[in-house]
Amino acid sequence: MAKAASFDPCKTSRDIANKLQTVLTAAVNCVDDHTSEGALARGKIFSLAAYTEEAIDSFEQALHLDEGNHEAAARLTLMQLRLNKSEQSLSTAMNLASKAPNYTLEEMTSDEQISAFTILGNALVQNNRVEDAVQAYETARKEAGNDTTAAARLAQLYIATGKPAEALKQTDIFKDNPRYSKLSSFVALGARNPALMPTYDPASLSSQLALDAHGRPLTVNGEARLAEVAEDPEWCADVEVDIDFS
Amino acid sequence: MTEEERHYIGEAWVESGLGEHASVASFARFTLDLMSVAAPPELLQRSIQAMSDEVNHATLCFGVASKFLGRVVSPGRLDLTGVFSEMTTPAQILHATVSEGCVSETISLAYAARAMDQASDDGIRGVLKTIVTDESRHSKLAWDFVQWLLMTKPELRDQAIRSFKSAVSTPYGQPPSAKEFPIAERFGHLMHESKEQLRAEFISSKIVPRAAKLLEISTEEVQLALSDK
Repeated sequence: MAKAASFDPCKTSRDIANKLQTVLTAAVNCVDDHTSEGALARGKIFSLAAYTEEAIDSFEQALHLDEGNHEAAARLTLMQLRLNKSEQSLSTAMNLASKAPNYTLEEMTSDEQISAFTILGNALVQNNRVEDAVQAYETARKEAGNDTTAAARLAQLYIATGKPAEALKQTDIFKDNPRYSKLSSFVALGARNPALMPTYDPASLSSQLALDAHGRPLTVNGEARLAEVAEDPEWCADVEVDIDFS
Repeated sequence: MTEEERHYIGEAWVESGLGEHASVASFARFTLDLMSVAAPPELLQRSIQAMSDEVNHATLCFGVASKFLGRVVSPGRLDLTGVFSEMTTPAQILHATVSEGCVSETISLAYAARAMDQASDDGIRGVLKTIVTDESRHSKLAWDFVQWLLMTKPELRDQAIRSFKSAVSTPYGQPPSAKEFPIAERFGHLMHESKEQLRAEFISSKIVPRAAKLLEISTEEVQLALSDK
């Protein structure tokens, strides 16, 4: 897939590395602190290393020590989303947005600012509340004009809900955010010719699971539907697997 | 193999099993869709056979999963709310078949074939061989149905073009949140990066040309929707 003309992998990776160095240096200086900030620092390091459960524990500890630690709440939501803890992420996000509607989180890999309402929008998407998510992102756009993530997410949702013209309106806002360079390319097609706009079905944001499911996915409103897990031995064929488990 | 790796591989096979199990319902719905558009009996029979194949695939996947996890794992209840209320028009059935059958299932087949090539265990390779053989027929069923539907309802051609463009241009998902274990590729499961590359290759070299031929448009016209030139 083509990327937007502005994407430069060398520059982008260098910028990310420089930013990460700053974040990690600051964090490692207080990892031993038994304070909310110390727990937050540990959480940030864990989240960067993909120790997601440990990151969640640390951010929860940070909030326990100081319930006004909005950064901890924001990062906790992102980790809960990462692990598909849909209800928990929505609860954390709603709590943050109601307590600190003007809060913005600085990304650890760039200078991008993410509004509390953008984080709420992400949680709403994961909970399949698409219309509410659009409202949240639009609020984020109004409250935090420099939140390019909200604009990109809005573009995705507008495409998914059959409103390509609305999606096009967002492109100038996020076109320089390298995280969304591929999206920029897609939406740019529509700028040249609306007929070329990708016509995502309503579940495009969550359809990745469908694309990965074995066999032919059972989709309902674009979401892949799976059974619960049980313990019926009749479903277990006797397959010879010759592996040393020691 | 560490305990963590064993657990990871086992869970991956559980996911595969749940996907195969859900495919039974997907083909059940497809069978009803075929009847709603008065499809010929040959397509109906192939869809019914596919349901039986998927039950077999599910038992094989859960069999492997149970070996790795050291406990019995199976599918439980499947919530069918809304499953049969969605698709009523031929255009909706066409869109779903293109997305789920022509593209998703065909790509899933490519993953299974690659996983089979890389598997180091004979038992797992045997399971994947069964899946690949059967899924090849299932993929063909989807394409054959689309071809038949467009022959009987040529007015759906523009919808078919839109559906293919949508299905192949949906960006691949973000890397998984949980840690991946490369050893899993020897036991039937590809890493995210492998899948991403394979998906892109397969779309451009197999699916796009096949769609272009089916729709009687040039490959370039289909590719245009995927590039920014």
